[in-house]
Amino acid sequence: MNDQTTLTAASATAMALSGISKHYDGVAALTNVDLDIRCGEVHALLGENGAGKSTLMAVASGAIAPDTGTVSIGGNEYTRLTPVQATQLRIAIVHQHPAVMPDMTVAENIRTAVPAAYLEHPDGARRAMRAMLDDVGFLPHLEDRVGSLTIAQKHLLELAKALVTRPSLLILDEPTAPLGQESVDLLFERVRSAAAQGTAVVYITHRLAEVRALADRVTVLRDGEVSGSAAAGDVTDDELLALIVGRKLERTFPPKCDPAAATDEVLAVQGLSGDGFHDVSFTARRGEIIGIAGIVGNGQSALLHALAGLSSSDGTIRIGDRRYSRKQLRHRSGYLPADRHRDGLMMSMSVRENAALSALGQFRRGPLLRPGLENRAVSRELQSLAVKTPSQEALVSALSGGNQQKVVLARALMSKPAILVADEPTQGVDVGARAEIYRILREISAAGVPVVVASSDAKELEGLCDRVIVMSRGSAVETFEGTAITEQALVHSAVRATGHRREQVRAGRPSSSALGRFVTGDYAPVIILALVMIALGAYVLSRNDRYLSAFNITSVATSCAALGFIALGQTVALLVGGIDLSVGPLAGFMVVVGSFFLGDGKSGPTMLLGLLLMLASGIGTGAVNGSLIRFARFTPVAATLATYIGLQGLSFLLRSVPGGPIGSTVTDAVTRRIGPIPLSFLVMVGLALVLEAVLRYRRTGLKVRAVGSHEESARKVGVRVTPTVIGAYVACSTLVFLGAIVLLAQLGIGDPSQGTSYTLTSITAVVLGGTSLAGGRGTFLGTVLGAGLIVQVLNATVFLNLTQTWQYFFQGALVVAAAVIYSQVRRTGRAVR
Amino acid sequence: MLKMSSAVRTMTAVGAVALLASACSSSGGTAGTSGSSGNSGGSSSSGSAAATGPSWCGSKKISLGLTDGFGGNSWRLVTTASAKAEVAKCKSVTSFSYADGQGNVQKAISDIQGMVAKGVNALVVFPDAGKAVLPALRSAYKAGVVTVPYRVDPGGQDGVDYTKWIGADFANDGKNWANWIVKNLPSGGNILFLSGPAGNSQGITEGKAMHQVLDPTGKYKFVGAQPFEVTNWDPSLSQQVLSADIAKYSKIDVIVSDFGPSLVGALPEFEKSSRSIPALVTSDGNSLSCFWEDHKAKNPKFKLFTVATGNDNARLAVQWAIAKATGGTPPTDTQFEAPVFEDSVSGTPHPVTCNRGLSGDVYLSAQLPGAQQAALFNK
Repeated sequence: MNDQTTLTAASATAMALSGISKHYDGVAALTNVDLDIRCGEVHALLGENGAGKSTLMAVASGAIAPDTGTVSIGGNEYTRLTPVQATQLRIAIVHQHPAVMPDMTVAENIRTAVPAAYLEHPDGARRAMRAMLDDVGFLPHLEDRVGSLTIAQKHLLELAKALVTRPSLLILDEPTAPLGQESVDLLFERVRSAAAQGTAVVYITHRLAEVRALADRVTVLRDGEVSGSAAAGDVTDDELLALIVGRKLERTFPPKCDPAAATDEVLAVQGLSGDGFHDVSFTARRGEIIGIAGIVGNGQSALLHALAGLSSSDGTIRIGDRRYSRKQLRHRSGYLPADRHRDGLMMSMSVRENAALSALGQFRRGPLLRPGLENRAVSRELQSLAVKTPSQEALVSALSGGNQQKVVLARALMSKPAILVADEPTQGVDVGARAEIYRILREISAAGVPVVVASSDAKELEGLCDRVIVMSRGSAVETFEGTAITEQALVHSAVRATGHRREQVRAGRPSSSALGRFVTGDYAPVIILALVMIALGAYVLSRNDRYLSAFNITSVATSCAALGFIALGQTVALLVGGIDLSVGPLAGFMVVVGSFFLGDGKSGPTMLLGLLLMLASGIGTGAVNGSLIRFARFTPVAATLATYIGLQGLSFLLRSVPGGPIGSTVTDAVTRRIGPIPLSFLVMVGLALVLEAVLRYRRTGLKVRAVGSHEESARKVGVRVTPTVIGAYVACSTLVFLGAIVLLAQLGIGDPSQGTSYTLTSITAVVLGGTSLAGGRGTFLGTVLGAGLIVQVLNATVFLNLTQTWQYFFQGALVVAAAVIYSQVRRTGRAVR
Repeated sequence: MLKMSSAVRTMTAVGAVALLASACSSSGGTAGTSGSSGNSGGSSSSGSAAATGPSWCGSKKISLGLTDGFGGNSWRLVTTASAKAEVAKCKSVTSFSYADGQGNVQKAISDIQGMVAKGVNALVVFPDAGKAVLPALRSAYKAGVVTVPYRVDPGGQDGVDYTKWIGADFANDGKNWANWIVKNLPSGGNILFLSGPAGNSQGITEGKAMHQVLDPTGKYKFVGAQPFEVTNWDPSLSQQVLSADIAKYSKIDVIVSDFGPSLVGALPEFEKSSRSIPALVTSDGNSLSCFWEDHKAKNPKFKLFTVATGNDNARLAVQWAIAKATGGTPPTDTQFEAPVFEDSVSGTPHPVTCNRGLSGDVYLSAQLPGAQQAALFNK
């Protein structure tokens, strides 16, 4: 069976992976793996959770560099591929977690990921996109926001993006997991037709039924090594199973409970359904440990969440003779999360604090805690669990994985839980500690507390549990008891399951309404702002007819130009998912620099030099900001705060007191007007329109938003993230340069203390304009209107003679209203399914 | 996952709002000196006739605007109220409006321009940001508005960039202080001088004037940082600086400060080290006067001499603006000379005046009655 059948010797090799090894922190993920993928075949890649399938395909698609080994394609050998090379070689991968940008529309996602050459169509690119989506049965509108799609729809979009490039190698990573039957059939058809046209297809799966339906050849991985490879027709299901299971693991389990002794029922779950699982029923008797098996991501964690009262569910959960509501469960359950670092422990707090957290109520005297009581209780618990820690006060982050898990367990036990729910309790735990955790779980169970354990390791469930429920696509497909619980049986049941997700049978949906798309779209804030501005303007005008006088229009438009340019820059930084706090001091610094060169009587070349130096300081600042963020791994706030302070210092270094009057030739040029409207304002508005067009219709703009929306997905679809981010900060600082020129004329002198207020005002303008602080979505037009509204409000407070208190209230209320309205509108957009 | 991300977004939005809200309320910036000494002189030129109005009040009907770079402390409240009270004396002013720049230069500029756009005929400006608001002042002046900046020097020239700048004669303060020192400490001694932000022109002018009087005698020595100790006119920084100097210099015979009330917190340091509080030469404030009354018995060397803090500078500026806009006769003074206010030694023109019924923030040297000032703070 290990001898590779040369079934289609004639067909050429699309890709040959040879001797691939990859280690993570000394743990082998892949060891000396060889794999040939031929043109026109569907090659199934099988294996248990963690067998190395996804890692191997990440190597094949250039996402991961192997430690050793080579990738050969068309006669060329590569020690590693880059994602860009992979795209050029037409290697397409459909990720298990779709690489899509939630803040962008379907069409924008396609344009970001797919080279324009593939979107050519006599009736335009949109027609091509619609055709490629129809081809995979994807129904939503091109202008729908991807964040509002279902998981299945995202997968179909991902598949469409891959197929349209007519790839030479197509990798599908568990593509059917979220799909309904209808979509699965369609998918199979597409995969077959792609293969028929000569595409080499690698199909990662856990399911033998799919291997039978699709695959020409099959390779099985186990513990990062190839355990076998054959033509699909030459192996039986049982032979494949034998290759999948049989991991070499040494460990000891405590004796199981005696089924004869276990009589009274302590847990009864009836018809439990929730988000990700449905209609699960099981019971547990005193002393029994319940196992939840299945391929990762088939509803096990969601079921555990429901049992712990952490998410809502329908159906009943009885513990002992009492029915528990969700709220009661949340208070009375002990829950061990799978990701204990993120969900289970406060890493910067001590062992004692972590352990005692959920039981603090027991140590109270009035409003205060009694440390003595707490210390004794924690110490008792740590002792009984044999936690190895230097002291109770040691930081929990200093403990080993096993002992950390025991601290989580201690916390669960100290709260005297009615039920204990553990998700992957021994993941990342060494062998010795594993045995102890098994023993503790046994003791808890023996004491009459129901214990439910989910694990992706079938061997562990075999050794630990008295009853195991196998989950597949959210349903309990089989239950094993007693001696019937074997690794073989559990894996068999999981990989043979053919059921498909119920709640996602409909992968498509009728197209959303045009109004709905507009309300949740980027331009709704623009309209809202414009209406607010018109209303405010009309009101002020009704009180004072000089509101539209030429002088007022000029002064308001000039202020708006300075703020507008800077806010446009800030918009770029926010779109890419960052923030630039340094814009204010940068504007001030540029004015100070300019004040040395732009005085009356300076020569033309001197003035030009001054302007170039101002621009250069902007580009330099942007490059520093971007580099600190990308290379030194500063957060955007920290990086730009550092430059904020640095620039202010430099300003004061150059001029300790205001000086260097700006020459009238310069101020006259900057304040030139067409009618009452300053030229600078027109330039700012024109530039905003150009930027808006770039943002919507050019790849540069799409890349910026892709990175801001979802950096990891953007990288997967071939966006070069680092240059994009650095470029965005440079663009931001360059726009600040234009604002500084207006400011220069407005202030008329190099004053080192000026400019800083623009940082917050620019952020306010951008937020009012509807750009998301989380990145990925927004408009330059909204920013211009936001800046306009701020200036208009300042102006209106004078016209309306508002008191100081109202001047503050007015501005604050606007910002709060904008933030609340926009976030509400977007939430609605996401909730609509 | 979707829920997560929308929750994160909401959190971010809320965070942003909090950030912005705090920005709105903190308004700080370097602009906005708190109190500082200056001259009053208002009493000398406030006019007389009630029926016809003062001579500076002409017949032409006008509207008047007052803008502040920063309006958020008690000294500013008193100053603004003083200006309003002065405006009320002239019936030709048919409307008065006020705007507070909140320490934000952009808003200060916008306020000036807004006032002009709104159609005021006269505009009185406290130009906290100095030269940075000069273009805005110039545009107001060019638009035909009578523009009178006061107290802080905005640069520029009368009749070119604005109608008239009504500054304060800080050299006069320095001269008054120095003369008092020569008279009351004839045998000489060590002088510690405190002023506001580094390099501020007020402190430099005062220092020069003092040196002119004191240096020829050869008996006085200035200790501490030169030309003055920097306090930013901030009471907490004043306290730190003064406490350090008390420890550093065993012999301080006289302390000179252009913001007297800010020293009250640190003076007890002398008593703690069993030294008498020395003579204090400064600007007035109710809290300072009361402090002197409470501590004079235990501190034999504690003499107090104050000049009026300059709230009434605003009155002279208002008089000028109204005179120019209404066709009245401008006052003869173009600068405010702060009158001497209290002298604990001679009792002239006033003995030290503490009113315990009023808030410590009240400035009894101002024309505006103390009770009216106190009412401003209770709003």
